[in-house]
Amino acid sequence: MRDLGRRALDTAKAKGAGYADVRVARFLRQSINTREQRVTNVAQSESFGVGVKVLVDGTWGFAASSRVEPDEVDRVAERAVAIARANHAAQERPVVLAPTRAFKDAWQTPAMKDPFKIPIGPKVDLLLAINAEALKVKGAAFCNSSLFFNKEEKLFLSTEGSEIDQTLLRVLPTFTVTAVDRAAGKFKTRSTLAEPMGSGYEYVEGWPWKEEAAKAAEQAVQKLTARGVTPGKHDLVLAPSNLWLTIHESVGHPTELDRALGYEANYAGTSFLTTDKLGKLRFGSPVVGFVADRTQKDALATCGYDDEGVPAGEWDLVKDGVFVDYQTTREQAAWIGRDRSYGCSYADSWGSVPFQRMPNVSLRRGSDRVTLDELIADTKQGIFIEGNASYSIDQQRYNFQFSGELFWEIKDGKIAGMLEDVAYQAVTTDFWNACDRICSEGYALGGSFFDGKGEPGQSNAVSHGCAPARFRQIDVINTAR
Amino acid sequence: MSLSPDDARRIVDKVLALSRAEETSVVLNGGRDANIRFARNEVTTSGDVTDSNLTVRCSFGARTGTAMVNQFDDATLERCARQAEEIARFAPEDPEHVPALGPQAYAAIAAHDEATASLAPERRAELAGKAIALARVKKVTVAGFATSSGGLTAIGNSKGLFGHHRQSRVTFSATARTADGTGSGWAGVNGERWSDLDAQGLAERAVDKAFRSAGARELAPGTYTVILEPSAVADLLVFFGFGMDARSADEGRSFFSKKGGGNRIGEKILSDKVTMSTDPADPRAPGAPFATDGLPTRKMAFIEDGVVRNLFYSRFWARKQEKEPTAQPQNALMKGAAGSVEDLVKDTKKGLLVTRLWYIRFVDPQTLLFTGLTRDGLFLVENGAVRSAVKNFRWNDSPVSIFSKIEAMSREVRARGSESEDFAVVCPAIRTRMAFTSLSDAV
Repeated sequence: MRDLGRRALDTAKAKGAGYADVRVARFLRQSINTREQRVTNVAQSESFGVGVKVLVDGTWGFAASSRVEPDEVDRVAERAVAIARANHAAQERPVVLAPTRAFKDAWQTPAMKDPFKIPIGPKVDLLLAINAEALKVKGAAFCNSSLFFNKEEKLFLSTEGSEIDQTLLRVLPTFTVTAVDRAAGKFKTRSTLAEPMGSGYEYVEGWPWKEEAAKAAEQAVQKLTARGVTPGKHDLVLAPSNLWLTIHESVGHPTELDRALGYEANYAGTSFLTTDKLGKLRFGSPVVGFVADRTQKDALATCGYDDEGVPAGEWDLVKDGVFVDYQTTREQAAWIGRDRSYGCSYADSWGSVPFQRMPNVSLRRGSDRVTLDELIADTKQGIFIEGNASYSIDQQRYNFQFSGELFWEIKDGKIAGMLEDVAYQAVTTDFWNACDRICSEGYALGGSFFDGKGEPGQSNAVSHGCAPARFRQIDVINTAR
Repeated sequence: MSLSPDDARRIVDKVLALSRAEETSVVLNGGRDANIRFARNEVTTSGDVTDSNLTVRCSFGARTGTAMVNQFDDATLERCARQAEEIARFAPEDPEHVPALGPQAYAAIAAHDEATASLAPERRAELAGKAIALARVKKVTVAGFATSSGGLTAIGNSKGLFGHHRQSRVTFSATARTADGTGSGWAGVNGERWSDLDAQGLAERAVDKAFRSAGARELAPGTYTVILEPSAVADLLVFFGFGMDARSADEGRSFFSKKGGGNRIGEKILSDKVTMSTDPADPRAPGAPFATDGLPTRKMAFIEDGVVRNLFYSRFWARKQEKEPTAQPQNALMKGAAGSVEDLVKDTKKGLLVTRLWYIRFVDPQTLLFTGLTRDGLFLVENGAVRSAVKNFRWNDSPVSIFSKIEAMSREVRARGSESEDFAVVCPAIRTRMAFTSLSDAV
């Protein structure tokens, strides 16, 4: 494969490319789906191919094929160069890449157990046991569960001399219990609070599935008769299992530099965080700080190098409440006067063109020593929210609405019962400026396995870490009214 | 190089011959996808990808396993078949296993245009160039995306079933933003033939909307009369359709569940103006004559004059409930009336004209409540004319309510939703009522 990769680079250079890189990659996926005591699907897929990216006189070209053979590799490299030449007429500012060192290296997710080496049998047994446990609870009518694993094996070569082998592993375990009251014509669901992780099968083995399945089933039934929330302004205490998605949508996406400059205007949208606000905008209260990284253990966007061969690192996006930086690739670094890329280039397949994708973006722990229980005890009236459900945010990332899995009324510092039909709506900067306390304990990762961006659409897996945090006087609507 | 129908037949036959399972089904699909992206009045990225995927499903009795590969050399095909067999042997027996279908008769549907499938990169660059040139003259910033593709889907099984379908595809969309960032306009289409595409006209429409949407005034959230352009209707139609699964309804966990048990087939749930159907042979949005499980796709109504006529029945659920199974629809058709969006505007005393919807997500599956936003052109209509731009809103509403309150419709056109852009939809613009719950500063 290495020789074919080198051949693609040589062909691209011979045809006129000033820069070229090639990714020869194999993407493996395995999924097992069940409902009740039935296995609905067991599937394994493998996709192998080569993608060649070139710069010809400062214009990008990209072509890819699933036939990884000498003549086809030549043809793909030639086609990438031809596309760059065809597009050159519409290019006013030539692409300039921030420098990076050439690396000859190998990296793999530090996992103990490769999920693809675990037989199907124990996986099926685990899922059916989850469903059985949930269905023991009276009123729980259905339980769906699934395991999804992926593995990326990719070789990156560039005309600058990099040769990098990487193997990335990710796991996604899920279940959802449905409680049905047929007489009333009502149903409610409760999904697992387990998160997808950039780790091996040991994460699946370490989660207390049976305990959670029983509890989830009881809570799904409880939701059928829970009291609807009174709309209005409420103090919110958000668990990491809820807050990660709010971080993803309201902090992760608006700090993407390509969005801020209009490169995603036709699809995902732009960003309210325009470059004139860099270093100036009070994004959140002084306790709020966000860090971006591709190095955090078990996180989904963690890797050794990005898909441009830039080593993984860590940097601040929001410091002491002030917006201080963006996510960048080699092409983007110079747009904001940076001399190096933060390593945010990623492609979801050998056949996808790498572009700027989100690293892990996490809320720094609070500096005052406080646990979740102490934070709730410190809250006179409010709502504690766990898990995530409905989510929506506008195309510049101002106005958002999030729901959750579980809503608990806080009264005089204590959990006073379950609420239902809760969604919170806010403007991003109002919300983060209303954050007054972040726990020092209880930090956890949540994440998305399928974060969409770009045209054609690509999927990125990314994690967000945080500890429980409190937000004062946020608008809450009752979604049943 | 893309697969020809003969290549596909050879691969399908080879895998079926290699399989040692009692029953084997194969789906082969793929082809060539090419695209060009532009933003900030320049071409940004573009690509040309050739790929095909083979899915092999093997069963021993009621035990089934599935494996997928994208390489078709003999060794990989054999490995794929063995892997599907091995998974099947380890899988538990499926009490809902349905045997594969025997040979079926499929209609030949013309949906392939070779000029589109093999379009040269220079033609795509010209297309982007038209939008960019217009943006430079008009001093706006344009971003957009165009694709041209050609692909083939073939299905076969060990009972002698075989079918293939070729389909080309073209898409174009553009978003223009005013220099001061206060106006944004969008236009987009999808179709099957490159020659049908009017990129210049679409770019002009996006630029016009950008200028007209600048300087938006703020209206209070509330329920308004709205004219939803076809793009907005297309998204609501597709999201509504996703909820129409018979099994979920019969199990009591769907909007289509009947209180006390059963489903709502036969109930009038929408305005009597509403008829929704699918028809793979409709030349305005042609699709494959078969679903990947082998069922022939066919013309059928789901909603007729506001009444639920059909839900989607999988082969297992149809057998259990003694119903006809429903093939996965290839398109969504909603019947319109006469006239255009402009005619709806002329006939409106006061309302809001909505270009498209964005970030649509479920809030409550019980009531089919969704939330989302308006985007790229929201306008106040007064006394039959567009008066001014209006700031975008977040909405929380159900397509059931929106399709129940329809007052008037335009004629139907091929439409492209924002959240369902790859799905072929033919629908009208509609005038109805919609609940807006908060303001968005987004442009």
